[in-house]
Amino acid sequence: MTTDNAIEVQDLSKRFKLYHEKATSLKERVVNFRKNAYEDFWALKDVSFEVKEGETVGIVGRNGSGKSTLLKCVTGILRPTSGQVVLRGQLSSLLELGAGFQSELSGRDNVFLNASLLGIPVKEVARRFDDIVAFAELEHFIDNQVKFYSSGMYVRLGFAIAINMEPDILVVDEVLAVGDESFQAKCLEKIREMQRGGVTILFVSHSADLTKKVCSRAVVLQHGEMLFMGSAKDAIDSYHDNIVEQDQLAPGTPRTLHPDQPIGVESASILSTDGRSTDEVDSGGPAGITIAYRANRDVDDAVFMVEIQNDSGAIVFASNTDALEFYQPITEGTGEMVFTLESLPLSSGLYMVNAAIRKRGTDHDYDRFDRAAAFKVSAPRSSLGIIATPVHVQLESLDRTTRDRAV
Amino acid sequence: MTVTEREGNRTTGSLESTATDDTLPEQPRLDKPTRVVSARIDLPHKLAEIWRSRELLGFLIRTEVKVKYKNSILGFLWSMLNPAMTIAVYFVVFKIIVRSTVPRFVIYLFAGVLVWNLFSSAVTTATSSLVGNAGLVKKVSFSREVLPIAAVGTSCVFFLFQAVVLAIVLVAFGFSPAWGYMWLLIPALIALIVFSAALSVLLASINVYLRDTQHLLEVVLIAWFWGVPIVYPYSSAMSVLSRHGIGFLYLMDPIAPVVLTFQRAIYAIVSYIPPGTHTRVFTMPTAGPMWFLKLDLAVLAGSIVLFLVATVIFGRIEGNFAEEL
Repeated sequence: MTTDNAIEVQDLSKRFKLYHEKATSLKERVVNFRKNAYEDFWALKDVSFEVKEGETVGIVGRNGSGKSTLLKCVTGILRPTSGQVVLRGQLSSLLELGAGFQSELSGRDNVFLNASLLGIPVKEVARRFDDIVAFAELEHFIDNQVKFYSSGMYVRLGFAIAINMEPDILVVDEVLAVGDESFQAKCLEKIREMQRGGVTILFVSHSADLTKKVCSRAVVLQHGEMLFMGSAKDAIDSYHDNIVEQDQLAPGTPRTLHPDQPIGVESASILSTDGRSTDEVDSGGPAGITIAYRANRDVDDAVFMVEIQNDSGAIVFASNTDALEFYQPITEGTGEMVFTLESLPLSSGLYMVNAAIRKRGTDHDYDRFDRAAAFKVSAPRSSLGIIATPVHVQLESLDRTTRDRAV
Repeated sequence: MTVTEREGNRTTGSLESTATDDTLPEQPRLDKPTRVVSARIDLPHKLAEIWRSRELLGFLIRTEVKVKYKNSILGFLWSMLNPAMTIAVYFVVFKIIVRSTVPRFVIYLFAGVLVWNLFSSAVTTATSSLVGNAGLVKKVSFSREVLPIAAVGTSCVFFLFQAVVLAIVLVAFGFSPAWGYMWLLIPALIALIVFSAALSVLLASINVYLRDTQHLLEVVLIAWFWGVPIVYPYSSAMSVLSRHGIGFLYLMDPIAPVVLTFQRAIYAIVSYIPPGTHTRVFTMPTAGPMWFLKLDLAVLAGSIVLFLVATVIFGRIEGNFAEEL
């Protein structure tokens, strides 16, 4: 066991008992003694990994994969069923900001109360008090009762306390999803600053993009088991593969239509250049999106819409038959509307297809099927933003340009 | 773009920490606290954790005291009105209606009620402290024993307010307590606080799993109150029990020695002859200070054992608090 590990997670397992109906009174326990029905649910199974001092490791996984349980075990909110977590250094967490706030107390009192809940001595808090207030931008309100704070002020104060305590280890969970954009940017900047200062960070975010940006390595969890541990990029790739496999969304899972519905989307799928359904597309190449529909009667005002959404939820592409000035009436029965994209210049990642059929000239959707299909794009490593395009770089020295200009 | 550049460097998945940062300490600091989160935690570590949380304990007590009567007009006066009312009611019922012969009945009552209030309010609030602070327990990591202990601490603060009122009453009545027994109040009080804390830690943790605990406690406390010589003189219960040879049971109750010590020091009227009779009634045992001290220390010793047992039980079941709440 080397000592430069800041966090060591060793064979960590956590079992929850899922009671079919939780008995919380003595009578219920006695009455239901025999049929005290519960199921074992392993939220974590033999998870082991290490985080070196100064390293930032991400944890990715779908909802229910055990991410939160893992963080709760690391911070000590939950005790593991077996295994252990060894932490070297003062830990601070951005899990539930402002969770310990007493609404009747002033912001000032709450800073001290909250910090002491986190195990920080009063002397330290007093020394950093001004920094905390300044970071939270609450100079004028610090002596007001917290119950009069807006939710933004509340979160800012919680964040400021947690982050200004000069922790050695920081645990971050989806925290950047709260607050306005400028505050998010400020938080991210603070996290970067802490990274540079050698703070060890355990980072959970649903955004693959952010995880790749912030973390050097990442752990992929699935059903409480560790699926993969490696570089952040490889981890995200493995996570995306896993999503596509698990959902078997390509081709889209057909839906059944309500008989009263005039027309509906049954499925959507991605077509490769040879016209076959696929879940992998080369960046920059052509691609097709098919919407399979069922019409219960003739519909002459249907507008078919497609959207491509990235894993941060942004719509990176959208089109519809109205915009394409394609007005063909739909007759009763089934059929497919095929959109052909001449090129799909997207960067690497996982994308979702949303399909909808709208009544022309209204905001009313006949039907909408979000995340009807999923596909992966692989792009050259040179493009890292939202779009991918061939890019070249060259060095031009200033001397030469001045000389060229002189000529 | 510095970010993406760095990312490029890191994609090899090297286990090395980012050595580019010059602010990184050259070698791991050895003074960093090491913490282990595992399924079980042994008693010495548990006690050390509680000891480390004493600052937090102070903050929690201060918060409770500040917040309890925050939005009420009379504020913390309520903490004195409550025992005042109790004493007034018992005085009317037992002195005027039942015609109790105990002299200076108000002071006799006050000495006992003071002790009882500390104990019962501490244990009652502590038992629901974990359930009541579910938000905190589920979301923040700290020594959870601190919550029930803070409830005991809060009751101690209100006890001090009430003690001041008692002192004023003594002065107003021109009543002189037994100064020679006064020092006994300290061991008695410590024994009471440790006993309350032990019971609080135990009941608070059980209450997370069985919410019956808090209701059961309320019922038990009603009976318990009458099992202690607060309203009636000690001898009247003792003589009945002694006749059946179970007089010792009366003093096995950990609250009784504390109440008797308080009464001996503050009330000090050991016996009296009710008007119109010739038999002496004893309000408390006729014993020297050492007898009281021994009894109080016995309570303290038992309470320390109970506290350790409670801490072990608490430690065993606290791992699932966050999911049970």
